[in-house]
Amino acid sequence: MKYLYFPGCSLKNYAKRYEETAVAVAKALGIELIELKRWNCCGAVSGLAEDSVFHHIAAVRDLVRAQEQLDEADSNKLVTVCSMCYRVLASVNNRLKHNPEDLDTINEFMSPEEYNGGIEVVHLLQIIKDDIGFDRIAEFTKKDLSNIKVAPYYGCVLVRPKETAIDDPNEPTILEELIKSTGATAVENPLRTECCGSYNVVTNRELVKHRILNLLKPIMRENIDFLISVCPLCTFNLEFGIKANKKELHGREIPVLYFTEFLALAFGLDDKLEKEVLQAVNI
Amino acid sequence: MTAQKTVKKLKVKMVSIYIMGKEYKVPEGLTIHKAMEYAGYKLVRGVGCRAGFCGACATVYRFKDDYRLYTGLACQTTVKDGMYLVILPFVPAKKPGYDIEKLKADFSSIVKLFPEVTRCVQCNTCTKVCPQEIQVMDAIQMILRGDIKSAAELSFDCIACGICSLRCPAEIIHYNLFQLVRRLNGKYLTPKSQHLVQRLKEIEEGKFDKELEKLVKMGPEKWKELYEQRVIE
Repeated sequence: MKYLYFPGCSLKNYAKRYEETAVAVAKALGIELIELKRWNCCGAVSGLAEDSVFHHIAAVRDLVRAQEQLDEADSNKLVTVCSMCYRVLASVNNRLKHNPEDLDTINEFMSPEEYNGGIEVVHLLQIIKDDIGFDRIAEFTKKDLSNIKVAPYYGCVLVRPKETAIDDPNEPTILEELIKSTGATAVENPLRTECCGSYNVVTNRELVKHRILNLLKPIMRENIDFLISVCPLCTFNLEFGIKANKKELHGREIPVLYFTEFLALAFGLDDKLEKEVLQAVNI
Repeated sequence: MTAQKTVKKLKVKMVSIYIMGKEYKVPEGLTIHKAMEYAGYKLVRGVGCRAGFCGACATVYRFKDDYRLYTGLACQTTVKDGMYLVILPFVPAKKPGYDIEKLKADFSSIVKLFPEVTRCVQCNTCTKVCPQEIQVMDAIQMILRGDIKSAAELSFDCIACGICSLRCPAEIIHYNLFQLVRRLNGKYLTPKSQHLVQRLKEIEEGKFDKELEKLVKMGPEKWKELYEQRVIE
């Protein structure tokens, strides 16, 4: 299957390991991700004000780019990997589908470019779940992960708000199902949908440090091998918080893996993983 | 007398243009520059190479009953009936100094000098107004994602007329930013040409000193003679 793919800025910068493994894992599963020829930042946040559409322009333009390239793909789905990009593109798409007047306003501003509302924004996790099926993951798994204990961490935006949530906002299970499908154990993580501290890491590092410590406390009793994340910003904050709380965590440096790195590991795609990650995980 | 007759015979169509609000009748088909000279203006600022390369003659114009703001270069754009225009000879813009040797070809080097680049809201106005038809916003986006090479390539045709920067709601100074990006690309990301390194070494070792000295002694008359006699490939 061929899908159009929107990487987003983070995946081209400090989350390059996320993109590398996402594309490799998709390929192993028989999915070709076609990166949009032209794309811009998704907008990073989407405005919530009901009387303003201007802050949706960035996202809409990406949807137009996908629309222009639709004939190269087998589906109208635009695949995202970063959960922030997913949320912004999906929210904006959602809003415009339900508010044709807003779409008209935006199209008039963007003229001569025009979005027809025909794109469906999805997350790679959904593609793996719905189009491949978690029951088939075992076929692709090359490593014995039965001794591995993994804690999933969703963060906020993949499961909130409910209009764009890819799973139950309160009790999501998609990551747990994915982990189990490889044969590894998914540790129950009660704070898996709590916020990581988000952009506060720029201006208030202390706050993020404390937040991460609180997030990790309930799972510290479990002897987990690593955490799994779906978001570049969550990963950044988790990695920062684990380092900053070295004393509080009694020197334990829990690795944080993107879900695609976890799958690459399970599939034996070690050459797609960064040396540091492989060393830290040591499977 | 004959010349006058010829002009009458041609029956040149005249159009009305409004230069900074004042109406002038000028012959159709002239460039904005030539039309202004026809109207009696002596071009001092807002004029340069007159060949579409220097970026000195950024012009904005509108037509009556058309809300769109059009842009162009006064030396390249021909006048049309009902054109309201003004040349913008200068764009006030910050131009930070930097030592290229101390920079890296990455986003963090750029954002320290031009922090406003992160204010891009991707309205695409810059791309719409560019008389060079550059994908200006895409180039800015390439900078934001750290792809300096693509930003340099996309902005290669920039002539620094500055219209994008005047229109940008985020107040980004695209053309100075693009110049930095292209410098970084040239210095750090493009392969060094070995023949240039070799030639520079030869110059430094004095290989051409004698010949140059000989030339200097010849004087202007001999130079002219040599120039006339030169072999053109």
